[in-house]
Amino acid sequence: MRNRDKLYAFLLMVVTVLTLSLYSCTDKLDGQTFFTSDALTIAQKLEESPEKYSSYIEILKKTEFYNALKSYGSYTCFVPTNEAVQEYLQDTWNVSTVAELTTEEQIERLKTLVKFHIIPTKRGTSAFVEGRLVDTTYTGDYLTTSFLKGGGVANVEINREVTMDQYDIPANNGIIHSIVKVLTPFEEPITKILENTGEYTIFVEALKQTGYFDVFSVLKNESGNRNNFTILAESDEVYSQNGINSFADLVARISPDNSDFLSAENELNRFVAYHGTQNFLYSADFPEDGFINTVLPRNAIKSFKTDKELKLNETETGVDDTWTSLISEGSNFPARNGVYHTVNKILNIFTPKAKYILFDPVNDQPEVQARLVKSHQRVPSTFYEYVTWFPESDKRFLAQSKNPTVNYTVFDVGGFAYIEFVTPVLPKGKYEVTVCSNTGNSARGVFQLYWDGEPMGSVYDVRTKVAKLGYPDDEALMEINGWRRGLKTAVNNKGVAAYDTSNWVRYVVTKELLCPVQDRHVIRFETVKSGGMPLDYIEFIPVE
Amino acid sequence: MKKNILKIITVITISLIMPSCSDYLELEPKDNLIQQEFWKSKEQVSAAVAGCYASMNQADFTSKALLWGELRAEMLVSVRAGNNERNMLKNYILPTSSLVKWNSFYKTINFCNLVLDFADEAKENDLSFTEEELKAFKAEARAIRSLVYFILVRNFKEVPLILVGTSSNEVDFYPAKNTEEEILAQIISDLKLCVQDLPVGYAKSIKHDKGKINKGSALAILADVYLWANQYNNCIDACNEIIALGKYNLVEGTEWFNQIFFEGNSTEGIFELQFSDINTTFKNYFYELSPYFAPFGGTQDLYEEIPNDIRGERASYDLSRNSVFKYSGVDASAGVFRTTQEFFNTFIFYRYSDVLLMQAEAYLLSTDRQDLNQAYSLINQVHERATGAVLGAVISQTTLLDAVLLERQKEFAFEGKRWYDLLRFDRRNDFSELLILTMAEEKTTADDYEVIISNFTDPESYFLPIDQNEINLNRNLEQNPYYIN
Repeated sequence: MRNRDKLYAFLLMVVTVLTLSLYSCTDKLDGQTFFTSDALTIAQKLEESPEKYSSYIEILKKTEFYNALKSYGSYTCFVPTNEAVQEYLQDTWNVSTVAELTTEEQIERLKTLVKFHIIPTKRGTSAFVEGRLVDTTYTGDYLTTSFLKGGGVANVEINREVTMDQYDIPANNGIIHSIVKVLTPFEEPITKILENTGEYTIFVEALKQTGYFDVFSVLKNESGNRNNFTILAESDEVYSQNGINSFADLVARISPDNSDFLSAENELNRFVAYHGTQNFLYSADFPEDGFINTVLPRNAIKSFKTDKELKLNETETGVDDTWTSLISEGSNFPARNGVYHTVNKILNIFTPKAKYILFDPVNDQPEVQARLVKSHQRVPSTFYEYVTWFPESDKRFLAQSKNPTVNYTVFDVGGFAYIEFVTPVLPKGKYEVTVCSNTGNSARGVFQLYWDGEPMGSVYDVRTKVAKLGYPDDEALMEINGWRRGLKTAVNNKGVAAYDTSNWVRYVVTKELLCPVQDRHVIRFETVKSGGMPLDYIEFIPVE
Repeated sequence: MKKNILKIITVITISLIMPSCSDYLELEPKDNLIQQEFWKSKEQVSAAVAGCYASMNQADFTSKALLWGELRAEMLVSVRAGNNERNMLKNYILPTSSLVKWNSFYKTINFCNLVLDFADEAKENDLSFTEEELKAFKAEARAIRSLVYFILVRNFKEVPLILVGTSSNEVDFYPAKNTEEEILAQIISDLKLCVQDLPVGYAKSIKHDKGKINKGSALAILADVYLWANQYNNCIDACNEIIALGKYNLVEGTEWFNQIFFEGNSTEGIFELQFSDINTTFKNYFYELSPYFAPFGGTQDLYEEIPNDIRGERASYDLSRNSVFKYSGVDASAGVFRTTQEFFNTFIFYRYSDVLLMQAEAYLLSTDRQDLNQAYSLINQVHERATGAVLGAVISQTTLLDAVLLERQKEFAFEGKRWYDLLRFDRRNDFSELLILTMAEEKTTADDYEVIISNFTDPESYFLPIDQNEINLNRNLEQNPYYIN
C-alpha cells in the first residue's frame, strides 16, 4: 500500500471514530447508591433540623437508640425540641448539655426517658382520642392524649402536661410528633400521683386510713403482670361542695360510729373500696351500658353512656333521676399502675336494679382490657384472674371480624374437663340465662352448666343443628327446644347479623335464675362429651 | 484519492443520518386540534362552552360540591365512607387529604377563562356569529366561573383569583391568594354582567333550559353571593328579578319528591347539572344496597316535629333502609329504589324554593328594608307547600331567622347547602354564638365528645386547608392559618 493510501485510511478511521463519538451517551445514574425509598428515616429527619432537635439526637446517640431509629421499623416518636431538652436538663440535673451526663445512673434514666417517648407502632394524630392511645410505649405505659383545651389537633396535650410543636412529620420508618416539653415517665403509683396534686387530701387520707393506699400502690400483681387500677376520686373541692371540709367530716358522714377503718365491714372502708376497680378504664373505655366491678366485693358501678355524657349509677326511677359523672378536666390522669378520674359528686355505694347484662368472657377480662394478651396467643389458666380451667393447658381467644360476634371475639376453648368464669356483679333479681357459642358443627362438645356449683338447665349440646328445630322461621318451636336466634346487634364485617346466622344461635340455659343478693358468681362448663366451644357471650336477662 | 474522499464523505453522511429522528421537527400534533386552528367558528365556541359544563360533570367536581357542603354539618353519617370523608365529618382535616384538592374546580375555571379569552377571535372569523350570541356564550362561561369561585371562597375563604386562561407562558404560574373581598367583588361584577347578557331560557329542550346557565340561574347565584356578602338589599332585588321572570314556581306538595328529585328538571328547578350518563356521585354515595352515607340519627325527629311533612319519610330519607331517598328512591308509595343503572339524577344547584328562602333571610336582616311580614309569608310558602299547615312562628326577627334556617335544613337536606347555611349564620355575628358548635354535638358520642367539640371550637377551622401539594408547588401560596403545622 502506498503511504498516501495509508494516510487516507488512517484519516478515514479518525473521522469515523470522531463522528460516532459525538453520539455517545452517558449513564446519568452511574455512581449512585439506591434505596428502596428515598424518604428519610426518623433519625435522618431529625438530623435535618439540628436547630430544633440536636439535643435530642445527642440523647439518642448516648442511649444507643439512634441506630434503631435510623433503620427499618415503624415507630411513633415524641421528640422534645432543643428548648424542651434544655429545660429538662436544668430541672433534673442542673446541667446545660447532654454531654455532661456520664454516670451509669444518668444514662439509665435517659434510656427510660427515650423508651417512654417511643411507641412501636405508627400513630398519626388521626389516632388521637380523649384518653389513652392504643399501644404502650417501650416502657409499657400508655400515653394519653387530651383535647380538652379545644382548638383541634394542634392543641392536643400529651399526658395532660405537654403540647405539640409540630405533628405528623412523616418518616420512612414511622412518624414524629415534636413536643415543647419533655414527657415525665411514670414512676409513681396512682396513689402517689393523687397525693402529689394536693387536690385530693381528704380522699388520700381516707385511702391511707383504710389501708387502700398500699393496695393501690402495688405496681405488679402476683402473676407478675402490671396492675392497672382505675380510681374514681372526689377532689377536696367536690367534698367541700357537699359540706365536707376535712377527713373528720367525711368520717362523720360515712362512718360516724365505727372507727375501725381497716375492717372490711367498716363503712368508710367499703366506701373507699367502692372507688377503685382492677379494670383499666380511661373515660372512653367505660362500658356503654353495663357494670364495672369494684374492689369492694359484690358491688359494681353502673355505667351508661349518652351522646355527650357518661352517667354513673343513674337511679332509673323515671322521676328526677340523678347520676354521677366524671369531671373532664380532672380525669384521665395516668400513672405507673393505672389512671384516676375525678367524679363530680360523692360516689356512694349504689344498689342497682336487676338489669340486662351481656357478659363477654373475653373483653370483660381485665387482662384483655390491659392488652396483656393478644388474639391467638395461648396462655395458661393462671394468667387470668377470673377464668379457670382444668386440666392445665394453654388456651387462647380469637378476634375475627368475619364472625357476627359481640366485640368480634370468642373464647376458643375445648379439651377441658371444666372451665369456669367469674361473672360480673349481677344485681339482685331473677334472670333468664342464655349462652352463645359457634354451634352446629359435629366437632363441638356437649356440656353441663353449673351455677356456683349447682347444675343449671339441661345439657348444652353445641353440636345441635338448629335448622332441624325450626330455625329460622318458627321461633316458637326453637324456644320449646331451648334455642333462640342470635343477637341482631352482633354483626360481622359484611353486615350480617348473628340473628340471621344459624350457627350463632343462643341456647336458653334457664328461664329462672334467682340471685338473692348482689354478687359475682361462678359459671362453669363441665364436659359431657369433649369437643370445641368457641364461646361468644353469656346473657343475663332480667325476668319480672 | 477521489475514491477515498468519496468514502470519507459517505461515511460522515451515513453516520450523521443514522441517529436522526424523522418526526422530531414537526411540532403540530396530528390527532388533535391546536390553539391556532381552534376558535374559528361559533360552533367551536359553543363546543368550548359545553366543555365547561362537561368539566363540572366529573365525579370529582360533583362529589366535592356535595361533600364540602354536607360533611362538616350534621345531616349525613358514614356507613362505609373512606378515611378522608370520616375525618371531614369530624372536622379533622389535613392538608394532605385528597378531599381538599381543588384541581377540578380550577380546571373548570380554566375552561371558562379560555372561552372568555378567545371567543372574540372566533367572532372575527365567523360572519354568522352575532354580537348577541357572543355575549351570551361569554356570559355562560363567566357565570360558571363565578359559581365555581363562589364554591371555593365559601370553603377556602381566600384563593388565587385567576381570570386568564392558561394558554401561553405569559400567565402567572405562582399566583398568591386573593382576599375574600376581592373574590366576592369579582364574582358580583361578573354576575351582574351575565344577568344583562343571558337569555331568559333555552327553547331547545327542558334539559337545555335547566342545564345551561340562563338569566334566572345567574340571578340565583348572585342572590346567594349577596347573602353571603351580607348585602341584603341587593339580595332582595336579585330575588325579585327572578320572581318577576314568572318562569318558576313551587311544584305541588304531593309531587315534591317525584317531580323535583326523581324526574328532575321540575318547574321549580333553576340550575340543574344534567347527566346523559349515570350520576356517579349520587350512585356511589347513596345507592340503597351499599351506600357510603346515611341520614343522621335525628333525621326522623327533624321532620316529624311538624306532622305530615311530605319531605320526610320516603321523600328525603327512608327510615327502614336508612337511605337518602331523595337521591336513591324511585317510587315513594311502593318503596322502590333506583338500581345502579338508574342514577340519572340531575345535580341541583338552585331551585325556586331556595330563592324564596334567600329572600326571606334578606328581608329579615336588611336594616332599611326589613320586612318581617314579607319574610314570614315567603318562609310560609315553602313551609305550607310541604306540611299543608301555616307556619306557626311568632313574627320577630330572631324566631323567623330560626325558622328560615330550619326550613332550609328540611327543604334542602343532603343537597350540599347545610354547612354553608350554618357558616353564613355564624359569620354574620362574628362567631360570637356558634350554631356550628351546637350542631357538632349531634355528631358526638360519649367516647369522642371532647375530640369532636375540640375540632369545632376554632372558627378558623371552618375553612379548608389548601392541598399540601399546591403549597409545595407554589411558593406564593400561604396555607390557611389553622392548618399551619
